[in-house]
Amino acid sequence: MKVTRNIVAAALTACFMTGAYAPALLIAAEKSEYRIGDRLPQGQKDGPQSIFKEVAWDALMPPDWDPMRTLKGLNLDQLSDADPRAMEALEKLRQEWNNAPPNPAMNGARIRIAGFVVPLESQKNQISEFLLVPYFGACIHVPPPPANQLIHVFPAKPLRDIQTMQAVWVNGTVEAFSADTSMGRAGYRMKAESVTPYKKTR
Amino acid sequence: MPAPVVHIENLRFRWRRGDAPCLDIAGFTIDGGERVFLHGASGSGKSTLLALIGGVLTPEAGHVKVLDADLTKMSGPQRDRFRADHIGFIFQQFNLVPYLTVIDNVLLACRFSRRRRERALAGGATLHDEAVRLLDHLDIDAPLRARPVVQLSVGQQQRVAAARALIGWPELVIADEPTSSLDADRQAAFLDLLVRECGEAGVTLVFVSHDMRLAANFTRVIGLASFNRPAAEREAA
Amino acid sequence: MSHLFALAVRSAWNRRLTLGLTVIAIALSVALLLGVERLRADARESFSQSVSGTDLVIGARTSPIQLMLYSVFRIGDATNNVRWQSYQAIAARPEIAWTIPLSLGDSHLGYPVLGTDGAYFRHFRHGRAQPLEFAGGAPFREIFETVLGADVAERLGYRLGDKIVLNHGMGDVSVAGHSDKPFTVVGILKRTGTPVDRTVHVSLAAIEAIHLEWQGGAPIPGVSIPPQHVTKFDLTPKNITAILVGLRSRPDVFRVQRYVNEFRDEPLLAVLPGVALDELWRIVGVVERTLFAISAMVVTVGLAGLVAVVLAGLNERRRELAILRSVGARPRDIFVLLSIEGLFVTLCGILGGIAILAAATAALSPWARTHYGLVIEPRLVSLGELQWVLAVLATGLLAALIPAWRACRLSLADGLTPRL
Repeated sequence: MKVTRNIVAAALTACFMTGAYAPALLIAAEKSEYRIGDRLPQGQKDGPQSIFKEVAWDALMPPDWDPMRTLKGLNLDQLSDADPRAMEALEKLRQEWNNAPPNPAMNGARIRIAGFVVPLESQKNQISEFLLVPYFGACIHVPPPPANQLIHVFPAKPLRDIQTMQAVWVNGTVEAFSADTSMGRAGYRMKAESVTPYKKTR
Repeated sequence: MPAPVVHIENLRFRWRRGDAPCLDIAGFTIDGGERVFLHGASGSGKSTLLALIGGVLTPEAGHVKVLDADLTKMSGPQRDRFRADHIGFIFQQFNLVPYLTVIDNVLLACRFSRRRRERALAGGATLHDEAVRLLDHLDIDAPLRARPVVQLSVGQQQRVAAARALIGWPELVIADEPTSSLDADRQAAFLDLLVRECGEAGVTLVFVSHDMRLAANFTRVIGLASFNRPAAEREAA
Repeated sequence: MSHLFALAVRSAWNRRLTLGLTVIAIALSVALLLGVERLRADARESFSQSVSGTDLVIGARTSPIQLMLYSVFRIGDATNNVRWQSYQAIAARPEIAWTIPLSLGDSHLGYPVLGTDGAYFRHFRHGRAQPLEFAGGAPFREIFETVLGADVAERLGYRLGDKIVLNHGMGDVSVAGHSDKPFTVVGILKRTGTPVDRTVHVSLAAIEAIHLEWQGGAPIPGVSIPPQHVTKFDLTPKNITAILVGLRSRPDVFRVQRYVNEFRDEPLLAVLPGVALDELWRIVGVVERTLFAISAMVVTVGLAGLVAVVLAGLNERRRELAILRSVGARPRDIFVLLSIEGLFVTLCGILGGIAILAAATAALSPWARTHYGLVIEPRLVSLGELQWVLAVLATGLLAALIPAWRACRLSLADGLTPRL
């Protein structure tokens, strides 16, 4: 009786003591919940009203710019797979996307937008400059987004513990450059006041 | 008439359920200033009775009053505090904590009882000086005081234990066969010292032993069997 | 409470022979635990410091991690090269602000030799956008001139004006040396804390020059071209190992990356350094966590040893505990006393472990830096490690509660006269 009691006590203790290190073990590899091409659901109504207006990625495209317009007038059903016209059209599409103009209405807007992080500059596990992209895997396997669907973000405080392709909310003031300047090409730049991890709400 | 220091009424105690009670005492009183020699056969329950008086054990029935405080009505921590404040103990052997110095062993009692600490300091001296004073009276001089405890002889250890029991003027000192490990000539010497110190400090002494030869120094000599029923039955058997 | 504390310390000191072994066990296990954590943190720090302000790294099509490892960290070998024409085509792109060509493959006494051009000294950044600085001298201009990283110069005792000989391949031994074409040291860089420190820098033309008589990795027997004649040959490189690229506008990175990945004339790969590093950490992270879990187990074993030793010694302490009870110690005091003892032993073990690790770090740090470009700062304990120190302390306290509880119960049962 005494022996079993001691054994039980010892076993419980061992569990107890190992438990102290559980946090380290529990930071298990967080398998990403997203698949390539996933977009983040926009228009989350919960959360406090803030001065940052929540914005969907579509709003960053000028209302008169259609991303698919070079493909219009091409009857894709009629073309075979290897038809050079299809390749040409894709090339034209890509060129179009490379020069996609930003929406001038967004210049100076204080917005809140959700996207995925591509780090550009980081030291000591702190990201001081990154690109915000609208869909998962945007630099790995799928074509890059149009130029007006990319935001070059400068966070006010370097991000800690954020990894590549992590989903985040960014609050800040966005600038839209319609033409190439000495500071950079046409596109969006943003000074972010806060960057917080994106939590999927069921 | 001096107030009773120990007063026991209708005490019953057994070690385990199902056992016969080892102590069953209708009444037993010790008055202040007495030197009581308590004798009985080994295993008759003498040590158990001492533990009950000291508040280490609680009886299943009856009352144990020490200095008008009813120990049976106190909680465990309260009894521990009471014991620290008012009672000194001397055991048969292994009385000293091996990793403390002689002086620190003596001062142990003052660490756990503020009352005895204050009373020890009341003379105006430091605790250290008070310990030295007692040790001097008990024939432990400076060279012995400097030695590690484990190097002292049994007799010397017993005398240090006596100093610890007496420091800070407790009202009651309980000695459980303190001379049984000493050889005959040392026994008498120890007893003389102890009795003299208790007399000077006005301390009531309860001395348990099975050696009747030592009984002469005491004001009252009483056998456990005379007031404890199970012991009486055992002795009769 | 303070008297209990003094009592606990002296009691532990009294049994220092048996407890001492436990302290050593805990010390070693804590050193292991903190060491794993320190290595992990410093390795990551070292790697991420090595490149800054570079938008893309381009090389032959291998895995992104392998490309980063050999081009930036000079670890491992390139399996394929980039043709010079491809490099020129890419460098001509309007989006690109600057390029640094890199040519690797030779070594000097175990230190990698890097062929590059002036763009390296102008555009390369590390740490927080720190440019390269010279401790002495200037970039190379003539063919047989070299610029040394800080560690190469220091370890091998080279100074400006010294002459050195390069080896083919990455071996330590000077087999197949280019001993007929020595190089003059014209510049020594300041310490950067990156693999730059252990690199020997020469011009691209120099790499071609020393391989003039070589075909297929070995010198052609009987052919020897003296140094002064090499300029008669065309020293334009035919291929290079990798290219570091800086863009005019950083958001163009995807566009250029796509262009390189789909380059028609040659299979090429372009990676974003930050993204590739994250990928590396994800893969390495599994190993890191496993190592850490094992170390945590070892610490637990050490503390279990402490519990066992104290429990085993309880029996002979019953008399001592009875004495304490007789002078008025409560069972709770006994509990606290033994808990403090266990905590004290754990603390001694932790301090010992920190000391062992600090000594090991100080001893191994120079070697790690010069052989791997890995910077491990010698220190006592960093903030991140402190949390694990506290975790071990807390676990030690929990562990100490077991014998404390047992002692408390024993003492209650024993009363004043333990039946031994």
